[in-house]
Amino acid sequence: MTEVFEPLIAAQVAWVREFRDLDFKIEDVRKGSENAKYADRFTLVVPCCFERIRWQIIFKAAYPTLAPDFVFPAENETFQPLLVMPEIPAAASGKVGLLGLLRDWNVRDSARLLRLVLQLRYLYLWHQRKLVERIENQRVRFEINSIGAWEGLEICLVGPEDRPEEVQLAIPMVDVDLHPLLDLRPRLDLPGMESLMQELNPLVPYQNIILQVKFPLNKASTSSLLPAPQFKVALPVNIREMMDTADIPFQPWTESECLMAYLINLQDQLKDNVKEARMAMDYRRQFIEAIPKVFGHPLEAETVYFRRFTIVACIHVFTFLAHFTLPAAFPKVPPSFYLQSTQHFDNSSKPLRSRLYDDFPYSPRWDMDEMVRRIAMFMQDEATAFKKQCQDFAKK
Amino acid sequence: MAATGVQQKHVGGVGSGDVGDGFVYDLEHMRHSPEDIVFCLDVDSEAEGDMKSSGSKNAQVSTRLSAIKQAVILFMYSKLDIDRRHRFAIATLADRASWHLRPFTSDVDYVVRAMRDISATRCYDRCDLYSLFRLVYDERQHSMNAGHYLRLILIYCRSAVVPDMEGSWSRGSRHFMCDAIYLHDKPKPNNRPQQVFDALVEKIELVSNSDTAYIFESSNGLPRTLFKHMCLLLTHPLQRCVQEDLDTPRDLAKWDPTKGYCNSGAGSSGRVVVTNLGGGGNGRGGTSDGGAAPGNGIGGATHAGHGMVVVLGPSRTQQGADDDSSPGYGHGAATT
Repeated sequence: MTEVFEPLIAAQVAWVREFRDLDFKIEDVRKGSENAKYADRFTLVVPCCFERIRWQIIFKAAYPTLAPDFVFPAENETFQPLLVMPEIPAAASGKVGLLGLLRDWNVRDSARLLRLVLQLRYLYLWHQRKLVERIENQRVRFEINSIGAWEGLEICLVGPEDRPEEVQLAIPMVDVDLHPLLDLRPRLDLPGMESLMQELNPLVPYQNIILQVKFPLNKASTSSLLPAPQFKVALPVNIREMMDTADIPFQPWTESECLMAYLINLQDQLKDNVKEARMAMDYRRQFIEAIPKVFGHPLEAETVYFRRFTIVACIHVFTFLAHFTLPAAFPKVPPSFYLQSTQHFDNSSKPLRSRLYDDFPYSPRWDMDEMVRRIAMFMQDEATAFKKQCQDFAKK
Repeated sequence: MAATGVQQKHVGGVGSGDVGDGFVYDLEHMRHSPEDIVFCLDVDSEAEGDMKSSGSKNAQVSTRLSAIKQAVILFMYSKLDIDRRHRFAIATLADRASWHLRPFTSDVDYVVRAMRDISATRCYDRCDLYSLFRLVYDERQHSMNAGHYLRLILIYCRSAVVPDMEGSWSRGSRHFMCDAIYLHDKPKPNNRPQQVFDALVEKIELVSNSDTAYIFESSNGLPRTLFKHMCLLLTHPLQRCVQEDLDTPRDLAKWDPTKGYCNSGAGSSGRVVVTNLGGGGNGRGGTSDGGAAPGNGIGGATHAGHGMVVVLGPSRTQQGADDDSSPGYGHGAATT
């Protein structure tokens, strides 16, 4: 049975859960005692850099107006947020005021826990940065110093503090303009969330393409030689519909290269990728708009990124649906579709589906009308075969 | 859609690939959002009326209600294949409406298990649609807060009970789309399916927030007709044309890659002219199979001064009662 939070606590948890710019997870919801009516404690999974750390948050259901306790994992025993706080500029500007939040805890301000978690996360990342700066490796120090002022940079140390295994950096590509693509899908935030986001800047992480860099640390980590870093790109949720990270070719890393130069080149390349993604959106829209000339109006088309649409058609009395997907790299990569019968069902009452078709005659050089015409020719044959398969299945 | 007055609307010609005059498929200016869809199932004993055999051993569709349940399942799976964010709820309609499953959910298995409980064993001599519209209307704020478009799909099965509104509905309160499928017996002295259909149209027009509500009717008892109508209701309310302009499903068997759709079965010009003779027509061409197109006299009878008359090309008049074939372009049975 799913445990239910005390209502005032539930409102606090809802704001954390609904915060869209960080993927917080609420796990292990439980009560303080067996006979308690409500749950009042849980594990909060906090994304930091590209690790996921787990904090225990403990309220008291009998006294929901009291501020919660936080329990950090054993491997973070040196993280002392109240001691870290005076060192950071954001504290001086009042953006981080941990003591104030705890001392003047007001449970009726439903966003209070979210503010607290974001500030703790910010302090945790500051603490991690300090740990990395203490690593006695010239190369790591050089790289951190050169990009240390990069806006939105997050740094984490992985492994025990006395024997770290790798340094991770999450670097937002701040010069790559993603607007208005980032905002194409409207946000449905809780009322007041938008103004809170402005208030919480810079505690709120960047919504941009993030380059993830991992520097593995040798056992003899004092030398300037390190294995080559590993790179990976993480896209904001909205952008994943328009770009595929597989299409971003990373330049090979050379030992003589520095991270700052690599980042500048990568940003230039990503700007081209984003420009291509914008053009591909137009091509996808044009393709869907060409569909009615042969198939009639689609039943439904996704109108933000133009990645999916569905049509209904028939072969004599056999009516079927065709569900299309247009890849992010269309028209370089062809669309794919599968058929679905409207008259034949399996033993679980699910409508029968065909295989995925992406092997029809296709050329990215054809105009949209020709592409649609060729798909229709292919579909004439395949739908007839699919109808037979469905009829054979139904006779079993 | 005008309910009165002479109205002529020409649908684009065969092979031209043109869409209806009134509807341009301009995706850039179309909207989309996930939907919250309420299925309302009629639980009068007429829902246990027989359907014709589907020939399939694993589709349990021997009665109207079982066919409707399968049609709802078909709809849900299809809709979720398009967008996983769509959600569903179930209401039933006896003499009044009541909830059977809510809140809205995308869990098809859960809805299927809930529908198993629905049976139709009692007779009801009245039907209050106001109670149904009120139930759905009360969900509008939740749906709006979730960014979902609210829609009602009513599936009605009574051939003699004309639905009524036991409450006053303000024309300003049009906050959801309402579609309907009407399964009925052929006209006989002891029933009145035409009046029922006209009442459904009138009530749905009163509450729907758009003139693109769809109403289909069928008396041929074929499950595949019901399934086809259900698939046409998959059309997203924000991306629809009016029902008269509906141009699917197109028969690919009649499509020539070099010439487009052939004329056979679609009339000499492939044009569908919808004329209202006045007196409160419903303007609906529909995709009725086997019977006449809705609004032109169910069972082929035209009621003078009432309803719509669909005038088609000569070859359309040959469509028989069990003919489910769709012409290459356009649709609807032919009667004048």
